[in-house]
Amino acid sequence: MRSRWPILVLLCVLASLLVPGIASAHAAEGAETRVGAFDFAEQVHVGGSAALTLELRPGCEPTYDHLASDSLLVPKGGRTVLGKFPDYINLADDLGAKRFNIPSNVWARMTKAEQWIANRTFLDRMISRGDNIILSNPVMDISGVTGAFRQELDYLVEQGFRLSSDGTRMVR
Amino acid sequence: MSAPQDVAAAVARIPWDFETRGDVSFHALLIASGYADEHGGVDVSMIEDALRAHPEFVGDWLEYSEAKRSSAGWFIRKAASGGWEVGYVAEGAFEEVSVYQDELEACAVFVKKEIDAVMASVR
Repeated sequence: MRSRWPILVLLCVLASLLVPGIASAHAAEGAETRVGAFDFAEQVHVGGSAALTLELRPGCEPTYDHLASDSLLVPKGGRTVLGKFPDYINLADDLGAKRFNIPSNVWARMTKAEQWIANRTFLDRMISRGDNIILSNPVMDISGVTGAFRQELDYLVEQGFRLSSDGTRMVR
Repeated sequence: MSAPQDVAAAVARIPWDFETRGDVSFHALLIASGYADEHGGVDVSMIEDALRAHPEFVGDWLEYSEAKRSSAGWFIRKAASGGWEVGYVAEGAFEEVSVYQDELEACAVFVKKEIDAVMASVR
């Protein structure tokens, strides 16, 4: 049987050219090198401990590992949970939904500004996927929310989202 | 070398400095507090005393906990049954959860757990 490796390598290269995240990550290297570093650190989990990208692209992990979740291979209309720590972690696990997290040793070494850049990158990817956005901590009035959760909600409002009537989701 | 009480006072204000400065990491502030040299001499009661002297920092620690975006770590939050929960969560599983009626005591316990965890995780 002839080897399939050349075909697999070609497919990996073609996928690299097709996936928008690669182009944007490369373009950002000059101006926002640290964003690229956060991309590498970021992990998107789906209902447990397995990294999404490792599940989606067997054989291509080293090439795609830093792409996180904005692959064309990720199904549209998934679910992402936002909220306060640790509530959002638990609800995401219960629902089998995505959540944003960074290894704690990396998180502790990031400045406030760096943490927000990483978080915003995750939010942008969530938006581009068209995920349903679930809030682990229901919100009836965004003005009453503080801290990082408030920053996330404000950013989503800027992107055209609003609270659902029951305060458990952000919708367009 | 700073006295343990001075280190505890510097530790108590870390989330405030982290939030207002924006250009320095929690770990860097912890190192700057002197805790790396004095961690054995700084206990929960010392941190609690520092927080009682500046209770305005308690809210900053609560926000710091809520703002974490890591899969594992210590947390403090208001308990559904009243009081304050301090515990550890890893991949969705809760460990070592304790409930305190006094917010300052709960916060001091959380602070000690958190700073020890940060020191251990970034060595």
